[in-house]
Amino acid sequence: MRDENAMTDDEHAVRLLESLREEPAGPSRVDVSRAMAEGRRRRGLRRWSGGVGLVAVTAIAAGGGTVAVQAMDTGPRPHPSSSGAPATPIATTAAAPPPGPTSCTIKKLPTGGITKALVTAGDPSGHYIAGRVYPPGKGVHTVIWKDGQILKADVVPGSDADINDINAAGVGVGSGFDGGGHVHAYVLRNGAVTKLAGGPADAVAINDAGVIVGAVGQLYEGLPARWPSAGGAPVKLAMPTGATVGTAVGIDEDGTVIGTVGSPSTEGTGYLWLPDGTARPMPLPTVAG
Amino acid sequence: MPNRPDSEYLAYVHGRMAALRRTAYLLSGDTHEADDIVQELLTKLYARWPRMHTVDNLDAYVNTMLVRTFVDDRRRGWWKVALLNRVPETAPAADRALEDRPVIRAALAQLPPRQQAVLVLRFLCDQPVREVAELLHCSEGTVKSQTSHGLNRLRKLLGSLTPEPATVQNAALRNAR
Repeated sequence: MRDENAMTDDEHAVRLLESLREEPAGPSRVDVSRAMAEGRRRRGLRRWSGGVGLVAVTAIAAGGGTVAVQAMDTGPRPHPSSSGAPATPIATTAAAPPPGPTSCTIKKLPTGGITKALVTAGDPSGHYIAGRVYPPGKGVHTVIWKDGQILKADVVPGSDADINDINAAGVGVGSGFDGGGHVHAYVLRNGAVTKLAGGPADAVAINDAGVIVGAVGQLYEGLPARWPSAGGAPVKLAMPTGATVGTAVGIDEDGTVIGTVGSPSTEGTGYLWLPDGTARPMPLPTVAG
Repeated sequence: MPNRPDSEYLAYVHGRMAALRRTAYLLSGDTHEADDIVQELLTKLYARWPRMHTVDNLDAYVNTMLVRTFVDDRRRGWWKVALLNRVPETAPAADRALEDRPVIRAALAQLPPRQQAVLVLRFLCDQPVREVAELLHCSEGTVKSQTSHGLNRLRKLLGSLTPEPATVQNAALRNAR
């Protein structure tokens, strides 16, 4: 019966959108040689911008996620050994504020023979790294590495599961989808999985004190929330008037939370919840042009 | 040093150009925005071209890049300026059918970017749920829930503009002929 409804629903959707099925009019303005010139320039900038990303994340989250940025930036590059040398000096000259590592060696993480894998989070100490592995034909599994060794694979339940953050004690937070397409938030501690309280939710970040932030509600329609501990009930964060959806995306060691707020039809704007209970919008950067 | 030479890039780009422009146009509904999306996509692709030999299915990879470029573009919000400049206001004219296209497009543009992409890929590019899930790197369940959320919202938005859903349907059928 459900399938029958879905069919008519699909047909209706096709009809609804049918008038938009058109071909682009006029000659193409796409300039391939300009794409190549700009693409060549970006090849040269890539390592440099990796360093800038590192600074941005450390400045906001005080260390949370630095490993992730580093690992994600270097992970997909196929020739780490032949050309890895220039990365460090350039990054440190661009990255004045936090005293980062003085030298780095790049190592591939073990994946149990699976050829596709990526890192989604790392803890501030660098011991724990979380990510995803893609066994052929079996979707995606989450995985945690400790000191470069696989600790446990397939940890977060549900489909399209993700570990979004992990703290220095190796406690990870993430989410997965159930059969009905609802998102659920999970905490991983010493190999044990706990579903966070509060119904459908997404856990996005955890600090070293174990405070978790994210959103409660369906994906893209949730409200920013904070779980004081893995076993606690979520506390919704204050929203400015007019905002109806939002999510927290990061939490600092002092309890400062950053996130976005907005409405379902617009993209969110940056918002800051301070430990003293006040909250304010993040100022937007001015962009030339 | 590069593992894939420029000649291969050019051959690939020229072979896929029409399809990429068409998909970008269906996603954005605007020729200029579509060309901007493809331009940005080709730039990214060329920047990554030397390590593209590690990619198993280049077409799928590029399609994902295209959708992501569209979603990023929408998130930045540049399109809003363009939309306000180009889409005509809905005037109380006699022939509603002529207006349906911009009205539906404007309603679609109010959805979150990923929902827009899901609806266009499924119902205008005729991609099955499984392929849309692969394109967006999410589960089939997510695609289905995004579809139903997107459609519900679209109907709500259009419901306030077109009292009879039949008007929209008839217009769609007329245009399809």
